[in-house]
Amino acid sequence: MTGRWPADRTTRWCRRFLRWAAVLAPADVRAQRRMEWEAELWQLRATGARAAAHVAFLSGVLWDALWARKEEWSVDSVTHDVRYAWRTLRRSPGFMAAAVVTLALSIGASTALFSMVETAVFGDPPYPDPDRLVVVDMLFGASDAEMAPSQWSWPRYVALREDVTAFEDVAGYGSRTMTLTESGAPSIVSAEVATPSLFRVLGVSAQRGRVFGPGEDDAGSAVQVALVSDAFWRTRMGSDPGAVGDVITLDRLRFEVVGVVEPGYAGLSGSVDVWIPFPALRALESPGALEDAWNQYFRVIGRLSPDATRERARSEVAAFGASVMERFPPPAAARQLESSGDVVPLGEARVNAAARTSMVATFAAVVLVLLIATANLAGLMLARGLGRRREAAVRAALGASRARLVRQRLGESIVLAFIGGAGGVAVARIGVGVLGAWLADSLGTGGSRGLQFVDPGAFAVDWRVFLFALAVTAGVGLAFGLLPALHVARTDASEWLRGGRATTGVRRRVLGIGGRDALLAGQVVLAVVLLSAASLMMRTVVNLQRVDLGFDPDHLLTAVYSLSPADEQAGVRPAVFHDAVLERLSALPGITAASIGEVPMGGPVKRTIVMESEGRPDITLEDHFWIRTVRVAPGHLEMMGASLIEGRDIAPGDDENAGKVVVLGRAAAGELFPDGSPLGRHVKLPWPGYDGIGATVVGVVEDLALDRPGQPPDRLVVLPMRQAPAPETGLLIRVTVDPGGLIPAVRSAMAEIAPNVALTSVMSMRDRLATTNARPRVLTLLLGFFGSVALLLVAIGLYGSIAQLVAERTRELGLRSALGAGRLSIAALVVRQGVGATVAGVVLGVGASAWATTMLEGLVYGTRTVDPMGLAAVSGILLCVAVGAAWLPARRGMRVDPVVALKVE
Amino acid sequence: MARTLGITTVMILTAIERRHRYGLDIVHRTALFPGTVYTTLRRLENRGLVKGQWEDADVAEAERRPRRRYYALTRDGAKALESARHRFDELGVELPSGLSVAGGDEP
Repeated sequence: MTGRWPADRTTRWCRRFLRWAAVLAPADVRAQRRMEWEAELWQLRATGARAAAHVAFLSGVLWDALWARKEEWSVDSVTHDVRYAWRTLRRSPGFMAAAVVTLALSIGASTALFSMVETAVFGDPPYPDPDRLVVVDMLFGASDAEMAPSQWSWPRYVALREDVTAFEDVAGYGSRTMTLTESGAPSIVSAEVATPSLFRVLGVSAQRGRVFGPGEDDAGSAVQVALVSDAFWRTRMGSDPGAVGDVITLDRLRFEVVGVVEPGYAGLSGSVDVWIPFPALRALESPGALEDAWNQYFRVIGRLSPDATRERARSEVAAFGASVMERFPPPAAARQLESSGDVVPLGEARVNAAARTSMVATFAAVVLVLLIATANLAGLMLARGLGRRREAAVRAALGASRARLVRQRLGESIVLAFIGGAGGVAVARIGVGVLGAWLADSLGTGGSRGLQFVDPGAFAVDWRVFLFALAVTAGVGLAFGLLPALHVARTDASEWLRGGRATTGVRRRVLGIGGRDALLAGQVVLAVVLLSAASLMMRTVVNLQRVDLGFDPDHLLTAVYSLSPADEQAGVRPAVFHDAVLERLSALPGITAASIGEVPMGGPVKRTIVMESEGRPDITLEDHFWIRTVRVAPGHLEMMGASLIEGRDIAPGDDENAGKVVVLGRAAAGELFPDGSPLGRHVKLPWPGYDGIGATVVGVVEDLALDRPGQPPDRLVVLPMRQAPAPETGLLIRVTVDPGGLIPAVRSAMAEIAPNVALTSVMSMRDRLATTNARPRVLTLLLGFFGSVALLLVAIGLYGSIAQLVAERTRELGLRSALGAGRLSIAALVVRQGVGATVAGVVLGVGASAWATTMLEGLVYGTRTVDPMGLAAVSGILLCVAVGAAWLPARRGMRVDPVVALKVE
Repeated sequence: MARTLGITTVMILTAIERRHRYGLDIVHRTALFPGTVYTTLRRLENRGLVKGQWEDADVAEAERRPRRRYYALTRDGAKALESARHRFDELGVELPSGLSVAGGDEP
């Protein structure tokens, strides 16, 4: 039949085309179609038709081949498959409920966390044209060392504004806590000092009144106007429509409210209540506040002009920065520094790396749980599929194409996935609303340079997040449906139609690994990664709690307060004032001792440079030997529970009439006096009274952890308050009872002594520590929770797998038992299979987690990211859980009665 | 396929009725695109309006060519064609003249 074909090239090419086209046709009609086409082609060649006819014929063949496929995908048949899938699912409501709930929770959690991560990692600052916004840094450094960003002073800012051309506009912003006095009661507000250009640069307007204008720039005299935030206007001014024009008292000065800022904007730090203009500092601080080129306390942000590039701006700013030392002669302490400038995009500048890593880690954890749940479902679907092989065989025999069978089976998983996905979006919405703010705050919302990193209010399920949910749902549905669906396609119809269960236990194995085993091992790998991350964070938390702080943090109430320049002008002397406060507080019941000093993790932080040290003749001012200065009341170190290494504490005798004395911290003592004890020797600081002979060292104390626990301690020098008074100080009170309970008493005592001095940051030391350690604790909580869920899922999966195994191999087990196998050996046989997969998973998982947990580098403390003990513990837990989960069904296998088993068909 | 037959389908059925029985022949007579003809033939076969049959093997062997597939109208097909023709007549639709050629068999 085929040997009579003409031998020319066209014919051969056409026949090849037909062969290819045949592949496109469904398998069941392939041969027929090909025969028919060949007959037609022969006719075409025999009658010598034109080229056009050939083209028409060949494209017709293609059309014909694809037609059957197209028919498969008609709306009718797809709808039919979906409805069939739904009917099938309804028959197992338990399975469906479990699957939908699992999916909804895992997809929901992933989506919620995606919205958080998306804001943190991809979010743009919420201002118009955010990529044109940059932070302008003033840099200082010793010649060889790295330059560090510093802050701006008013004269430098004015010079910058005039000189640099690459910016459309620049603006200054500085933060300040101020005391608001309302009807006699002082409270603290967060204020931002702003130039009028700030509102132009950020595109912020007022909802009532106006924002700052030309009147609030460079004006000659103090300008006492203020803007309030929308939140402040609502909560403190009762949304009063007549708020514009009202007068508020800040730091004892009266400010007229000229505008309420638009809702949703709370300053660059995200928590600003009021704005004041720079000229107001002339009244708040001193008339010369804006004249000193070295009084640096604010930052600068700029908007690039449309035609300027960042590079141009950077070089202009760097040139300006370099010229600063000449244009503005520096004080002695800064003389040897070099200066420069830099320009950093706003989006980059505000990033808080640790917060971002924690958010990403949490998201990754949730995704791992989702993957484990998906693998679990895939295993379940496989098991279900096995039970329905006969049905599939019948369908195949009746003419359903392979693709159709796969599609029908896949339909179930897609339907499940989408129901679960819909539930997931709902879960995500609720989750973001309820937990979003808490999660963001715990993991960190503040960035550097006083900028806000993420705005918790910005978490929402927007279109990008919804798209993510959709993609995840579809992916998950395919993932857990594909394997079982493809399994169906390999069904050998004849075997099943014969009613055979004789060949139970035959599983398709690739390289000796069954599909279900691989799924299980995969789940175990993921669970190991998750649990080892959790164990790392747990160790971090434990380590942080065990850190020696250098003082006793229990029963310690802390606060910070400050006298304002207005107070000092009114004649209040800091040392006297502080003494009065301490005297009053010590008299309160429940208080054992009260002192002033620096509140660890609370401030105020003060530093200075060592001028000279007897122990290190080589140190001069130019070396910038920074040292932290803490001004305390007598007996402070004892009250704090600090350990004196040498010498004595600050005593009542160390007052303004006595010689200057200091106590050094261990690190400072070691560096300033490396050759021996510093007791009785001298140290000079660049202050009046401390620069002549210097101060005598009377003691050495073990360093206190004044910053985050676990950080290497700052070099410390402790001075008597009476000898070096300062208006701002911390208050530390040792109490006998719960510190929180004494807060009201302390507040009212303070209010009696000084009605216009407000206490800020009043909390017990334990609470302060908890806040500082919040991030690792929250991460441990989250990772631990997800890890437990993962463990549970693995246990369930393993249980199901072993149970199914026992059911499948009932006959075989019965046989073995009949042939004399002991019950234990049968159980061992069963357990071994499941646990084998777990062991493989654990081994791979340990490797995978060693790689994955390097991501947590910046977050761990006191341990490396690869922690052998933790990994061993995690492996042990997983193996125990695996054996436990396998044991129950194995017991059933043990009890198989051989007679019954052999009778079962 | 809709319950009622469209023009191209009617043309193809008519061609089959007029004994133009295999794919290319129908294509030639109706001047329709081969793809249309083939897919319509499949549909008609699915619906039972035409029946396809392989040519006798000996005949093909003798003529030293591959076996063709011939199509013939079934009773249902004839009836459907009839009612479709009525409908077109009522509407005043004229079938393309190419089909009015009274043709005999063509190998």
